[in-house]
Amino acid sequence: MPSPLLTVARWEFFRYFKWKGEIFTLILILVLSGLSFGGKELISKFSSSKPIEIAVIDDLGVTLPEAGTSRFTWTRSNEADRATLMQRLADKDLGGILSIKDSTKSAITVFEKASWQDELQSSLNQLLLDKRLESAEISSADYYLLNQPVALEIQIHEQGNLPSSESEKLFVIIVLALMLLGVFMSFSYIFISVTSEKQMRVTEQVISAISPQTWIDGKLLGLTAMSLKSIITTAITAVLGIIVFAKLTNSPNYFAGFEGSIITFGLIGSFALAGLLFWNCFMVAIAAMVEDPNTSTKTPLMLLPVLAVSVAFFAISEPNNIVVQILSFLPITSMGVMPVRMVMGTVDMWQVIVSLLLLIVAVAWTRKFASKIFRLSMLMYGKEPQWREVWKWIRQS
Amino acid sequence: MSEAFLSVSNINKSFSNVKAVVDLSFEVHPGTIYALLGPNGAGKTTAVRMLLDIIRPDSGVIAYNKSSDGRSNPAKMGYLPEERGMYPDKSPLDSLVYLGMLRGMKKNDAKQEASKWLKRFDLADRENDKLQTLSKGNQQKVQLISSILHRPDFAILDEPFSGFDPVNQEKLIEIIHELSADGMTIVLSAHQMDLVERLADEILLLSRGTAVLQGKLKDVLNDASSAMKLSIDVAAINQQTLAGLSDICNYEIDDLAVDGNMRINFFLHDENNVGQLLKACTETMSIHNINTETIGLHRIYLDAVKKHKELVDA
Repeated sequence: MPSPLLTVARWEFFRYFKWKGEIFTLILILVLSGLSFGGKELISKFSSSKPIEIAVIDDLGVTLPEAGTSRFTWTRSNEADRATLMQRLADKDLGGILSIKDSTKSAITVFEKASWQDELQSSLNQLLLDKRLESAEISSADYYLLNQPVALEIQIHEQGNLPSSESEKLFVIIVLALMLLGVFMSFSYIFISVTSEKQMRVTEQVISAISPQTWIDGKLLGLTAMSLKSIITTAITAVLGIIVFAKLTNSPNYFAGFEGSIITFGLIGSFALAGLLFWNCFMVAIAAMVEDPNTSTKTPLMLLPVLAVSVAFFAISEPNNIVVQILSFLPITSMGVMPVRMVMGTVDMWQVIVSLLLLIVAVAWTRKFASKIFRLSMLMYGKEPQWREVWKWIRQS
Repeated sequence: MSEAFLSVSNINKSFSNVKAVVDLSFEVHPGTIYALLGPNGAGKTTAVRMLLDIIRPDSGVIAYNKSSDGRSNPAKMGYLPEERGMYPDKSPLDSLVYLGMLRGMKKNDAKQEASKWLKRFDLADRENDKLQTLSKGNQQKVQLISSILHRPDFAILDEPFSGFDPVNQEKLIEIIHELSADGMTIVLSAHQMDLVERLADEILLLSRGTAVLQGKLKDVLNDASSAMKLSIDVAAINQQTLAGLSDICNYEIDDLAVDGNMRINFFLHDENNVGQLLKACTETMSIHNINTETIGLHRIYLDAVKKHKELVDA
């Protein structure tokens, strides 16, 4: 005999799993992640590598750099040649006509706006630097000395906390973003699944066949699996996208230097799973109370988990802060905050275990009260339960 | 008589200050069709939900005598709720297989049975279409199939005829008879008294949560069949004559007025002297029309509910 729990879980999972949609989403994530990390390099890679010729009409007599020192080649010209130069511009044979009035003012005439014009700014600064130093009566040597930053070497105490690397920071941001994605996906799946079943009056049919506990457990299992699937496929595709685009565009390896152990990954995965289950229980209970999704005042509560995970982003800057430490133990925030502490801060293993256990206990407790609310609310048509009633049910559960 | 399949003893259920079911007792015997009747809000749905263990009675006992623990076994029960609902974005076949599996069927068996029933209801070519593309009547068929797909021992069919045209109503009557003949015990709730009369073995009429009439249908009809309703339309009622006739039989003045006339309904039994009644009426009132009607379940239902309402209001 098939297990009703697995039957419900499979049904809920495949209600939202559509192959075409999955493939389209994965391609989109691949492209987006690639563009996010390697887009700039990609654009410059495909930009013309041909040197850009700049005609300089200059009243100051600046020394023009030799060809090959930047992507620009500089040719001295004068006002009398402007008409010819304008024609060359029109023929796209010339990049621009640069008129230098004095060491602080210049203008360039181009045929169209292009990305190389931003680079011209720094070349121009360099080009006019000598003239500007001369007018300010500062020698080149003094200038370079003044521009040297005061050396500050940070020496960490031998028992102190080593600073987080950029790759660790990137990893944590990706983890939190994936958790947010999971919570968002759960929100949409649960909200649609529960409220539509209630509105479509499927409830009685199902509840006469299986217990409300089996129904809610199957739902939680199926929809959490769907959210996890979204997290995992997004993570794999995004990382793949970053790596592939980085290779294609010779971008830096963003994950260089990141060292993560299997235990760390396993624990972060456990926090993600337990946290999702915790919030999914909460969302099932709230969704069951909603009579009409368009007018219900309870709908905004479904966004509470997003807020709870978002708090973890603030923990990134100071992972060892006392408030962050407290938040890492609270089941409503530990899903996101503890992984941040694990990767970026210092945390003893016992703290991680205690936090995870607290979260698991919270899952069990939330499941219990959620199923009570679910059972009573799903058969309540035409009105929503009052908070007073809900509180009574929670106390009874 | 065989042991009852289902025994309900003195169940009560209240919601806040509303008494939904009051001291209700009845028995349903194996293989019979038991009709649960009553006007809207009479407590039928609450009673059905208690039978299905969806809600618990405040007091009283519901016992399924074939079950070891006396409780309902979902795998052996079928339910067609009054509040219809399926998954509109799913196909009839997928929905039926899912609901069949929830009732303990194996996937292949559920698929096979679902296809068979869909064919019987002329929906074989629509089995993979989305439910939302089916007409209301066809969706109703799918819903009905879901309640009997797993060949339950006991089925509760709440308003099974709702949404069906006369042709499909006949088909459904045939199927219900067939299932009953196969040994399925059926509790039926419907508002079409003529159809209930053709199906039910026993009836229970609820009004305001209380049983106001119950028993074997043939006994209920026998009690009433010896009665006849004689309706007389008169221009004006002679109260003195009516007072004199109250010794002969029961009567009521109908609210129904035709062409400005008043209608008096006399409820006559074999022992009543019709001649004396007609003589008294013709002598004292101007009669425009006389009509006779055998009393059926519809009339019995209305009278019983009306009497109960008057009793409670008094």
